Amino acid sequence: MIAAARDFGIDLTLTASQLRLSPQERIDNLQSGMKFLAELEHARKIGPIKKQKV
Amino acid sequence: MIDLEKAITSLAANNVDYIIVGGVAISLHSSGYITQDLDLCYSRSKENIHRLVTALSPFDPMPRNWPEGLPFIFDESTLRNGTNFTFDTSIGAIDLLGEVKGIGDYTDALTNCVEFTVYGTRIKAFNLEALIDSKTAAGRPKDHLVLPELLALWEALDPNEE
Repeated sequence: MIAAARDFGIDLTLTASQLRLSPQERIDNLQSGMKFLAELEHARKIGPIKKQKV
Repeated sequence: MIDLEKAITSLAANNVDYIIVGGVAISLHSSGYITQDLDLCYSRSKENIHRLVTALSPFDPMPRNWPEGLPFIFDESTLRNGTNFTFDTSIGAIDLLGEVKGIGDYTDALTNCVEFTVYGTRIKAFNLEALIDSKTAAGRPKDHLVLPELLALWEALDPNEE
């Protein structure tokens, strides 16, 4: 299963680092990740910044 | 994006019987998967539905994609007349599941959960086996994407493995 996950493209080093955290720290990381994804979604909706002609 | 602290604190303050069953449970088990909502399997007893309504009412739940302008009342009658609900609230998306595919209802889920402490309160969440079974049963592409990591965690943490 571990090899299958690696082959699937899962970065197991991230999983291993999560395992060393407390449940509260894992939840805090999740909440931070949610905020980051929300920021990305906001940026996507605004669209790319157009370069100004000089 | 769900505000987990507000949701979990309010549920605890009102002694709601629930089990975290979705992406948040997956994260509690150390996956790097990031969800945007909170999925709860809740007890459908009359008393618990009353407590659940009390806990979530301050956040103005509305069914997801509910037509604008159409009135909706989030109360005990509404929850008794259905089983599974997807709500948008002022603190983010919360799904209430009376039954979970591949597992069953709250009573079945109780035998498939573990406890964690977060925000100073004890919470119940699906164990890895239940997450694997429910994601397998749900069968959607997004469910299948998390299965390889869940299976790897299950193998790595299996106490019966050498």
